[in-house]
Amino acid sequence: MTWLVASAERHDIATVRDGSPALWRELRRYNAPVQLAVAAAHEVAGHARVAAEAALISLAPCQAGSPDLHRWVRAVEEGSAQRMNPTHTLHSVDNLGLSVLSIALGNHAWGLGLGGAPGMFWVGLELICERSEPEVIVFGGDQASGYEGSAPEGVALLFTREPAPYVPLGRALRLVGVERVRSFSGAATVENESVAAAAAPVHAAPNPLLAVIPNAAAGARAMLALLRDQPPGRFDYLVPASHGDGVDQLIVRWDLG
Amino acid sequence: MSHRVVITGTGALSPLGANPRALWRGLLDGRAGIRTIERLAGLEVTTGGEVEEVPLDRIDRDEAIATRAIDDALAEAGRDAATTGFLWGTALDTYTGSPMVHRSAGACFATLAARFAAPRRMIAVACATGTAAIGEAFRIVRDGRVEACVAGGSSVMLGRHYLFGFHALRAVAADLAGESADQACKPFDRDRRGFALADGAGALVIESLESARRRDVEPIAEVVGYGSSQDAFDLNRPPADGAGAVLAMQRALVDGAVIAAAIDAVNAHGTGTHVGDTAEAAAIRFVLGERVPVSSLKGAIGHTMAAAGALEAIAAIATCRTGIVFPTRNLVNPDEACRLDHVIGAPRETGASCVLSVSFGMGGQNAAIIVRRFAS
Repeated sequence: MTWLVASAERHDIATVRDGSPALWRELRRYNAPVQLAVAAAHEVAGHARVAAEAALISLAPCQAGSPDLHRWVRAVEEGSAQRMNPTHTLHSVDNLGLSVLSIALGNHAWGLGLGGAPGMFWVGLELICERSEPEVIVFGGDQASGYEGSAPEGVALLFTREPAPYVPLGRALRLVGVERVRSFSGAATVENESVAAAAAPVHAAPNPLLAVIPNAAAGARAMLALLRDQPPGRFDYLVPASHGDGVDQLIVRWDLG
Repeated sequence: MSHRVVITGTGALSPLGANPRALWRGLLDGRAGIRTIERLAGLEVTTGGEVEEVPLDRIDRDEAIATRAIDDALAEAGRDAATTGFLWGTALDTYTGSPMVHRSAGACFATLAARFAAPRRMIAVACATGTAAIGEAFRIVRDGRVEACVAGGSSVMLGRHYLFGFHALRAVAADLAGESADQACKPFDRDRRGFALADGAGALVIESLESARRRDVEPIAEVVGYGSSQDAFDLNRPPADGAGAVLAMQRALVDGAVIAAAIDAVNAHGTGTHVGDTAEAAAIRFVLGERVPVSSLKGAIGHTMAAAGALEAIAAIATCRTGIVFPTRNLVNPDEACRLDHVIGAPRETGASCVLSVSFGMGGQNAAIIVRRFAS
């Protein structure tokens, strides 16, 4: 049994910088998806009973890095730089968000970083259902392009084992589980209609992996937006192919109070 | 229901060769996989470990190295990917070729994972990735959530940008006048200066004993415990007492219902960094005392990042099967701060059958697994 207690979304770094100076001092060195993910996780951690003991699941950006990092990479590869700023090296590290949050929370509990492959948010939900810790925070950030640092966003969700209302709505939102149906056979054609239909604007893509967009945060955000407007009862969220893993049709099952 | 979990297949590509036997033979013989990399000439760091069996000019080298290790493991286990889960780390994005091609680690994982059954999980806890992947696979097989998984990791990061970056973080050993390249990494030695970066891949088939028996496959070894923790201390260094590492090791012992006295050997993380080795030694002393033989393979093959834990697990399995603990290459003068029962100079026949293998990731994620000689 797992209940969603709180969620947070962050799209604007300036808001974090201006609104939370103490938090900003911890985050300012990192790349935007990590800054926004950790800022969102900080907010939901405030709703946890014992954030320092919560299980932590972090999602690395599907589009890694930062404009700073890629400037260094180009300079190094072209031979015009003989040194590299170590802080910007950290922008390439896939467990950066997990490390930063665990330090901020003083959390020594089980934690797992999931890499920047598409669909890992849904793996995070599966892990939440498998774990036994009283509370779990899953969080991640992404961006449209690591080279430009464009359209960064961060999202975080707090789950608990004991029945509790979802803070913004005062309703109980119980995560029942995640179901998977294999849609991609491994052959180089899109045969499953549900995958192909959601593949726009690349309908002709021979491999549904090409239809997937960076979704470390976008998939969670899209589901939360629908979840809030649902009437009480069972709600099966059909994950759009663009927010999936390119292989499975994913359904997240909820029981809404 | 809890299931016994066994290993039924392994695959390894390392700077010592392209299969687990080459890795083990090289470790026993004290061979070096680290050498001067010509394409790095002129840099402060020119040493590293390359997997020579996969051509350096292949743009898809990250995928090719991983695929070969995975296929070898599946073949030894006699399993098909379509009925097997996949928990794997592909480390960080790669930058290869000239002109440079940037390949996303996530995309590499997605390509590797597509032929596997669920669960398909990309593990990303820096240097602890390989061990965490094995541990997480162990957990879900033991819990009966899946019958079998391929677990492990791969890395192709031996390029200028990562060398510069990790050197700036004081993790990589810079070249030293008068010292040969194969001596760059000296785990636990008082003259240690950091690690040598290396490419590699390690894959293990983690399977329930029932499944292996049903398929009439003889297990190679058994996984009995897994623990993980977070330092929550600092991004670039562990606490001096190795408190986070202690937690991970203790959790593995509790998880496997294994007493400390039952651990016959430790396959250490042993990167050759000053603070990392000191903290790790303190943690091992705290949990196991100073009586257990300890060795690190990074002096021989370098740090293969996401692959490291998997290659170390494969070496630990070989110790369980043979009772031999391999020596730590380049460890000549153990640092007093790292005092342990180090295996130095030559392999030691101890009859070891239960090995603790540990990995500690930059940023503070720690993982430990316990592997044991299989006995029916």
